[in-house]
Amino acid sequence: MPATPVIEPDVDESDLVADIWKVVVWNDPVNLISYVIWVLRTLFGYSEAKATRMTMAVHNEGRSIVFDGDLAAAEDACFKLHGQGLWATLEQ
Amino acid sequence: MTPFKRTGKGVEVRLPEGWGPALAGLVTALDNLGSIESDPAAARLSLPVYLGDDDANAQWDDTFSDRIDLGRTVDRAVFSRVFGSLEKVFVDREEASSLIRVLAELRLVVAARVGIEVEEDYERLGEDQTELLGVLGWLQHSLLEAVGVRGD
Repeated sequence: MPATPVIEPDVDESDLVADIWKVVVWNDPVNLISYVIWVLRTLFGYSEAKATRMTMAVHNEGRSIVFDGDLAAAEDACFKLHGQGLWATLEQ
Repeated sequence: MTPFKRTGKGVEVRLPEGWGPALAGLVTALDNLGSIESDPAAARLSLPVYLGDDDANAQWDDTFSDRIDLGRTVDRAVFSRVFGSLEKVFVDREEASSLIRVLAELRLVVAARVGIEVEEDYERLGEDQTELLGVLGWLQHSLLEAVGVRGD
């Protein structure tokens, strides 16, 4: 019985990586820590621990990646964060 | 005193007399921001999304800025209605979320106008500016606790 031919998909893995966009929230000296935690929890449904960890990274390190996904999802996340007064940027 | 308290009927607003109308009055400042070039508050509310890429940011603004403005307008209307009315005592979760966002927006606008860019800038503020930012932060934090700051 002949072996079933294996068809390799014509996909460059580097393209897949490049299609992932990261949403970065930046620290600011105005928004309360409790507010940032609340925003991350309500927008993304993160656990208290995860939202707090990300918020403290924003506070202590100046920025934190809070979401990643394809461009449409990342832009939507960024739109929602800006709507809450947080400064979010997109990067690959 | 706790200005907001979670109850079975929603979040109870328990502001001192006269505070509601004063807060509602503050919101009018948000409706009259200048241009991004001339008003630091407007610039703070329109920060770039794509760093170092003006074309991408322009496209972003075309797509999203009107939607962001619409959301803020809705939130401000809720804020004015709740605090401008002496009859409204309880707010539901959605209304409370609008109030929280407007309090954040007010703090950002005030801070931008008085030149807060880093933590150290607070040290040179006048008493009135410090008090205003403090009161707005106290109200926001109290409301976050009332709705469940952890998002639950």
